[in-house]
Amino acid sequence: MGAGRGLAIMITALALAGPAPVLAQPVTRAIPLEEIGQGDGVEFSGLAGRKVLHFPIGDPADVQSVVLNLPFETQSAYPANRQITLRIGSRAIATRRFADTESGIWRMPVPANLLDSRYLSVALDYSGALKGARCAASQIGGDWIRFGGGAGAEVVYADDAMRDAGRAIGHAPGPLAVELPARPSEAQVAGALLLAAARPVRFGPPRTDGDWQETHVTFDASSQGPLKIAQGSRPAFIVGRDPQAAARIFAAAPDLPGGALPVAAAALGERQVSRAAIGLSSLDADLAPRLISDRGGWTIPLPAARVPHGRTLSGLVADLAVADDGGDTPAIVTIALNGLLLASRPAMPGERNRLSVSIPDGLATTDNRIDVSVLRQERGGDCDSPPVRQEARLLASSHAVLDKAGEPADFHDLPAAFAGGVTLVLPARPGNATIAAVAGLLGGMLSASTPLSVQFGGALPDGPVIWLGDNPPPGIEPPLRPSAKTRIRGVDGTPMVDAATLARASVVQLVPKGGRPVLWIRPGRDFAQLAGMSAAARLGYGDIALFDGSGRLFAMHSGREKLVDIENEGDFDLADWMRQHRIWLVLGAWLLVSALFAWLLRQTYLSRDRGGQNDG
Amino acid sequence: MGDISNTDAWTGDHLVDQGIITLPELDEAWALSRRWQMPLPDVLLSRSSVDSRTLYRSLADRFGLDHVDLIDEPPDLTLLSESDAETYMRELAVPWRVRETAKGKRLTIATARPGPQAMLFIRRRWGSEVDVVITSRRALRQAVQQAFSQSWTRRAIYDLDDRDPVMSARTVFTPVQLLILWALASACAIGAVLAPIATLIVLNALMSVFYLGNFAFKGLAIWAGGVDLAAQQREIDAAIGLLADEDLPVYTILVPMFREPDVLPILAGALRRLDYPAAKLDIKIVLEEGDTPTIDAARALKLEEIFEIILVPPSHPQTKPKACNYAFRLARGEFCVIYDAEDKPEPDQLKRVVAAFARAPKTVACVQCRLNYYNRDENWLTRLFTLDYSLWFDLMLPGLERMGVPIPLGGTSNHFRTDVLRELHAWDPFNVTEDADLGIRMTQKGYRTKLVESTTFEEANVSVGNWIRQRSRWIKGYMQTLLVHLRRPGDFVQQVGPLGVLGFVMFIGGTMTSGLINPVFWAVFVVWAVTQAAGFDIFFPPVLLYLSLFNLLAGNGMLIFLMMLAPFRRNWLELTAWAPTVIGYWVLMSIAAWKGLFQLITRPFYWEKTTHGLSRMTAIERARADSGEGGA
Repeated sequence: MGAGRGLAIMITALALAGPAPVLAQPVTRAIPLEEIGQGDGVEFSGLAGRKVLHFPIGDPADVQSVVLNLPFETQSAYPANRQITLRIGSRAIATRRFADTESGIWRMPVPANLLDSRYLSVALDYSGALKGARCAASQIGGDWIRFGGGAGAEVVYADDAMRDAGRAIGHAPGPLAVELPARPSEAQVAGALLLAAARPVRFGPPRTDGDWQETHVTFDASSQGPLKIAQGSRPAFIVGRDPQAAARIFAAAPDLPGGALPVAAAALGERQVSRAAIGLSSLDADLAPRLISDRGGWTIPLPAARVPHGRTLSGLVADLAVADDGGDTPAIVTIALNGLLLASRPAMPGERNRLSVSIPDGLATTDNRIDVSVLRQERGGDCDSPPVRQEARLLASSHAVLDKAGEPADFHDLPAAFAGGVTLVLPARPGNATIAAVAGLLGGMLSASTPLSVQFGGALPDGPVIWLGDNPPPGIEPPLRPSAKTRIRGVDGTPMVDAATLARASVVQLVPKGGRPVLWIRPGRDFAQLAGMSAAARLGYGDIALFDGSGRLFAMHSGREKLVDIENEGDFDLADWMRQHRIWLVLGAWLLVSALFAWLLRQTYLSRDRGGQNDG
Repeated sequence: MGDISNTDAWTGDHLVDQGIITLPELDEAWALSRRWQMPLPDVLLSRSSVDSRTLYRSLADRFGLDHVDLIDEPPDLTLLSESDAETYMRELAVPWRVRETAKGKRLTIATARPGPQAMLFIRRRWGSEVDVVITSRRALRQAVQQAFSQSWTRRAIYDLDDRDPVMSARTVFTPVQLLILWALASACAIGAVLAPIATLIVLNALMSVFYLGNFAFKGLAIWAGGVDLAAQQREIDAAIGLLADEDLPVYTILVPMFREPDVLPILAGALRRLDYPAAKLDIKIVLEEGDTPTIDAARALKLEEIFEIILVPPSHPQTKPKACNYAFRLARGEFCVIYDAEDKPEPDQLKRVVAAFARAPKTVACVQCRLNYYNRDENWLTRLFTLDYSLWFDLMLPGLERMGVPIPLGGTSNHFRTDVLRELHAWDPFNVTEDADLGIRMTQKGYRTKLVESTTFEEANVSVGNWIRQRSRWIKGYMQTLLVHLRRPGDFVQQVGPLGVLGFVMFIGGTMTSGLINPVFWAVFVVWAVTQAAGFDIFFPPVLLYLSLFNLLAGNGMLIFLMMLAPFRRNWLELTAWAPTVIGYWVLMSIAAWKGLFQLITRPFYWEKTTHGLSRMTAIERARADSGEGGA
């Protein structure tokens, strides 16, 4: 496989290295905060703060100019002198003062000489002080400044920056608008799904209004090579004969050096992954040192798709170094996973402080969030002195521990299972809406490097399978068999999901068969609306999940749940039967008991009347 | 110590002259007669120095009177009056026949006690115009018994029911009780329809509180019973030392048996070893008329005169208490005790009881001795049975006595004041645990039971099936006892007091109730443990869950611990390790409880006979008894 892929990439490189059309004008692209994971914008308060934003601008040699476009709003309850300093790297490029109440747009061009890497790192340093002879501690706060999700960087690329796909792909917007042909092939469907795994994807024609914020991708099976560029004011990409390679290229695009596409798998970022651990520094998180006065830390996303095939998350190790603040009370370091505190300990200054924890069963999910925090007893911050901030570092040795995986029990175990290969079986050649819905539903389950095969109809293949259809895969007995009489209820009989809801909903079930996972997706009435499903509604916990147009309705584990029962048509549950026929059962028992008492009463009177003939 | 009477002196000389006894035998008998203050013939008969027929024939010759055998020539029934039966037995004189004599028709009186006293009585009772013949004591008693057997049989069955029907188990359920039980069942049914969860929670809570009360009360009883028994024992020992044989009263021993020919020699040996003047023992071997094997075995042993075989005519219910009631009519002793066929009482038990009665107020109508087993190490069942009995008799009963709780008597070694027993109409023949019932009835009538540190050893059941039959009868009897004594709950509370009621409910009611409901909770626990099913969670809200857990762990743990302590007083420490296996024993008890409940409804008076003689220890004891060896 590796050699074949390498050969395909080499052919691609040769194909893409050919002469390209000359573009008429520079191309402008907007990189909103939303694209770099700051969809809620950036906010500061407490007269202090720092945030570093990393804009993926691509090869800086192709960049003509960059302007930071920062719409803001700000208020302060008390008169204060407040300012924000913009820094690129360590160099301040601008400082702006803000009034107590103000809104507007702060546009700041970035000096060209500071564009020296594929990522433009812009640091916003917020600081201030209360006006007048007012003595107040900094914790009073009452001030804030917010840069909305529409803020971002406006990048203008040189004429020839979009000359070839290899260069253009690093400059194109991250979000993709994928347009499949009317009759997509199996490989094209697979490619589209992998693109959706690699980047935010919208299925459909691109938007032509507003800034260039999404990259148009189309498919042409006759095109040589995995990827080529199409002409236009907003360059588009054409996926060729190897859609899966194209997906991997798009996944690695921000880190690709300019010029020809890499010919080796390693350059695509498909590096050899350790099967024992995942370094936290390899994850998409800002692990820069923090200056902490009372509380601060790092939030590290750990998608399940990062777990290698056959492995599972079993533990976390966080190594921290905390500077001595001269106080008697040591700092406390904590580690939490998905909001659950797993461990904490006092941090010895000047030493490596290690937090090593096992991950409890059922805590990991598809989109894991690791929070490493440092808590200090704040010094200063009163009238006499400002808060004392000391540095804390999350060391590169911090990692997530992997262990051998068992049979997938929950949805969040699937990404690791699929990482070794998976086949998606569709009942027929799908339309865009279906592919979009499948892509939305499988969010987090696939990565760009997942060996994904697509099959239109046919028998159940070997290996892990994703089966889309109204009926379960052949030979599979799912725990939930949707029918007119199937419902989900609590053990006390409280209905939780009635049959009508179940009939309308899209039902996803994980049914292991012979040690390999089979994911059965039964589309519901609003299946198409799953295309834009949020990350929070993704498959994660359990082996049964219900979705409607609004997202995930319900999720459970058919084996572990003690308080929920599935009532399939044709199932006989004694407890339920007794509950349904309770009145008749009670009446019958009461009649029997009454008959017994009547008989005993008769025996009592008979024995008195017969004067002892019955005694014995 | 008084001197012997002239009659006895004259009789003794005569027997020696006739060569019936030797002079040394006579001297020995005279010495005992002085010491025991018993007539010489009684002493001679009790020691088998002379057989009954020879003695009375000789006496007849000596007095110049005719000898008749009342068994072969029974008295004219028209001359007898049932109301005088007790007099006949006490005075050993009974109208025999009206005979034609030279003086005309004369009434002939048969006596088994020839002498001035007898003649004085006869003349006072029947006048001087009577003839006298001599008969044996055994024949006279048997004749009287046969004359009135039908009436006595009926009275043995129905006396209690006729005179005090409220106290009789002949009515199993009163209409009021049935109505109340039915109303409770109906209330549960209504609750099951309208609010099933709440109803089950309430029932669960009631049962859990009951369990808690059961544990607590047993623990309290054991704590209260932690008396210094050694001091009590020393007092009794001292009292025994002060007892003279002449002060000892006649003692009636009832031994009801049914189909137990094998253990009869063991019993006879054990009774012979009793440290008590033989002539003052009134031993009644009570057999059913149809039990030919046991009757033949008894006759084959050629037992001494002190052993009297009473044949109970066939009738229903065929129960031990009915047989005891029948035989009790013939009791002559001031005190009366029941022993089972396989019992081996400690030799000084009767003296201990006499001393205890002497030191106790008149309200003490019963002395209960301890029971335990001589084959305790035979198998698992006998070990657990021994622990069970040790816990009950050695630890709990002293506590009940101290707390004033009515004591459910054990099946044997209950010693009664005979007059009180007659006043209470003896045992309830319809109750299959007549002993437990009598203990409660005594308390209601104002009498008490005292415990004495003396043990009767029995044969523990070695067979599970046999054990279940026995225990099911006990539990059925407990159910009967509960139903009888709660017919008038207000009176019951007044008579025994609140603590007595609590003890009664906990021990009598608790034994049967826990046996019945334990399987329900065990099933819930097992199903939950195996399947981890969450369906039971709603029936155990937090407080109830904690209570149930406490009962499961602490309550049962406490009972097991108490079981482990039970054998300590007897220094049988090797049994302690078996206590944790009591759970299996409780399973058997539950089986027995449900069987008992079933029989309460279908065959309430059926006596589930326990087969004795299955233990290999019994076979050893039988061999010893046959060879004439002693030993407990």
